[in-house]
Amino acid sequence: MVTDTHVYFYKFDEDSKSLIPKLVTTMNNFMGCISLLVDSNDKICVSYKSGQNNFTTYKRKYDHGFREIIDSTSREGTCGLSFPSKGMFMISDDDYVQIHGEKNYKLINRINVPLQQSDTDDEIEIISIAKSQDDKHLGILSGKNLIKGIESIYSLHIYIIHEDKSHTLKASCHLPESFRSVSKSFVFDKVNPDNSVIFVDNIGIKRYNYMVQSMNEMYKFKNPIQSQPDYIVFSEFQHELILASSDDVLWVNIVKKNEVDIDN
Amino acid sequence: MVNLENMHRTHYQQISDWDLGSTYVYKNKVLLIKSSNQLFFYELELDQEQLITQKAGNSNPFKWVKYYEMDVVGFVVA
Repeated sequence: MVTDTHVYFYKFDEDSKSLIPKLVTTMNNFMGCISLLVDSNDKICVSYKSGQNNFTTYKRKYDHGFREIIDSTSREGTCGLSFPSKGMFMISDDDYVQIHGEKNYKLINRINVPLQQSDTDDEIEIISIAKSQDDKHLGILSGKNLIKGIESIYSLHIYIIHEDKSHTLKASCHLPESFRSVSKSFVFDKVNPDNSVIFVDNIGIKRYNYMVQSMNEMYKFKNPIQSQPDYIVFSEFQHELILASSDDVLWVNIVKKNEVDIDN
Repeated sequence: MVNLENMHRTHYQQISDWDLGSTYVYKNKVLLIKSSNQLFFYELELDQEQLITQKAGNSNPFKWVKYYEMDVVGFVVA
């Protein structure tokens, strides 16, 4: 409704059967118009004033960008993972992973991970999460957060993420003692994401088949690093990687078996 | 918008004795009619009496019924 002083915006509630218009917002009629057209995105407006021999167009200058809290719990030490192809993202916590919609941030689903019981004071919790390159698998690595930023890795859970954003537990592996010092950064095998993930520790690179729970060594470092690697980034086809710990940075070509100790 | 090829589907109904201003139809559900200081909202209702006569072969079973009104001046922009 356009009046001399104000413009009132009403909306019909489509969900309600009554079709009673509800006042949504009001603005000053600073244009002095008698007619107003606003586009569907609320970005452009055309107004007409009585006696005017043309139209006046307006473009929205400001977006208010209101903030809304979707989750007020502490997320210290958690991981985030984006699934652009499925329009969602994930946030991990102690023993669960929440799936949120990308557009409205609403909680879509929650994955409760069946973690091992700890036999010490340090609780076993989710350390990191990773997805396969085709966005079909989710890997959840759990273990203990120890002092000095050291993680002790205990188990790996693999979930299938379906198109409808539901999930199915595919594999649950209690990792042997030799995996305690692998890096929290891990990736799905590019060639066999259906059954293998790749771990890296300070000695070398390991391919772990989570379906039959077997491990084979892909590469042994010529320059073993001093401590547990913190960050690992593979090239697209996983022929090269760069890894970093608090003391070392190493570049490795797995195919050509080349290494460059970058920090030296 | 009346489809001229379907003119047989139009029907006449006198919904008010007043002089009315601009009129809009919202999604074929709501008829908005502006008077000088009021805005009327009409919706289609099934007229049971007409439904009986329609079975006999004439008239339209629906009629516009006022369900809401607002006391506002100014112009309606849809």
